[in-house]
Amino acid sequence: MNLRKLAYTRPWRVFIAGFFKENAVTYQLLGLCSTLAVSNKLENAIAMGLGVVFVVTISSALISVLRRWIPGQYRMITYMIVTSTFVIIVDQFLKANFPLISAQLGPYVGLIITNCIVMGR
Amino acid sequence: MKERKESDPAAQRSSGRAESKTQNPKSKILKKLLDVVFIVVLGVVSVALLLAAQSYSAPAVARFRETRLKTNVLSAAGIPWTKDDFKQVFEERVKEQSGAGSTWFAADSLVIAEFKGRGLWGMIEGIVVLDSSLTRIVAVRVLAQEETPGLGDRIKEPSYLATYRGKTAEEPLELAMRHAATEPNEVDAITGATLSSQALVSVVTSSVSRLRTAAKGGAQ
Repeated sequence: MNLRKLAYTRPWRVFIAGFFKENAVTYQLLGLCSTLAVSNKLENAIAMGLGVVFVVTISSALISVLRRWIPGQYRMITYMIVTSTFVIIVDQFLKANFPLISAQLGPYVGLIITNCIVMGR
Repeated sequence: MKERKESDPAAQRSSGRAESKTQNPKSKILKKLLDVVFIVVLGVVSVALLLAAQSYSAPAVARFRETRLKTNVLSAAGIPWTKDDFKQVFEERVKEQSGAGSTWFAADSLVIAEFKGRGLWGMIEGIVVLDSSLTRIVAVRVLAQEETPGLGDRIKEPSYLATYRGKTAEEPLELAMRHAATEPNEVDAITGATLSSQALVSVVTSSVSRLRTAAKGGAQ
């Protein structure tokens, strides 16, 4: 009963849409670099996946909050600064706590910046 | 009209800009000023975040680099170590020596030096091991590199670095191209990664010659 109701609520539909229809990777084919590059090992894929989720979530949230104040001409610059800041934070976190995984991921963590999921919005 | 219908942020912004055009020049200047303030604030905040991240990771990174260096020096010298006692083993078996502006490690009869130099994209870091008479290269190990994944990053593989084993330390190394390395001063190149192979060769050559002059000076 409750479950059936749940299926019609808006948060649930948004959540489900995120799996395919509003998933940047499957639908817009953005972010493929970080999706495919290092998914050769489970640990790498998990680390990269968490990294991308963190970066995209935080930077999208921040940009949504700032949207009204972001000056039109500096839109791209703002997106770049915000995204790359969080990417570097993820990179430093990996270097500090999982140095071996970080060495395996190599330059691909930095390439989250260029996957532009945030900019595709 | 058409633009209004779109819920696209760009359209909203352009309509917002059109409104601001009708305002007086004074508020235009104010708006420009606010834009600059926004960018400066954003810059300051992101730099602060980056500095925080840097200072958070710096000690762990330094610890990792020390571990990596010590364990690799021990392995290269053929000294057994375990995860728990490598620091102790390192202190007992390896002596750090310095002279002529560089430092090196002496372990058993081997002489080991760190090297660092420009690769194709980033720095290549590693260690080179010479025998006690400083005439032959015993081993080369790459500890960190940023070469092209899948091509140039093969320079870090032990199976490739075996090509340096037993090569002469007395003359500059050369890359053997279009043929297998046969001469004592030749090392194999990697197909598709000539520039990375060349970079490693020159980094190793310069570090070997530096180590030779320094270690010889120290011995006399």
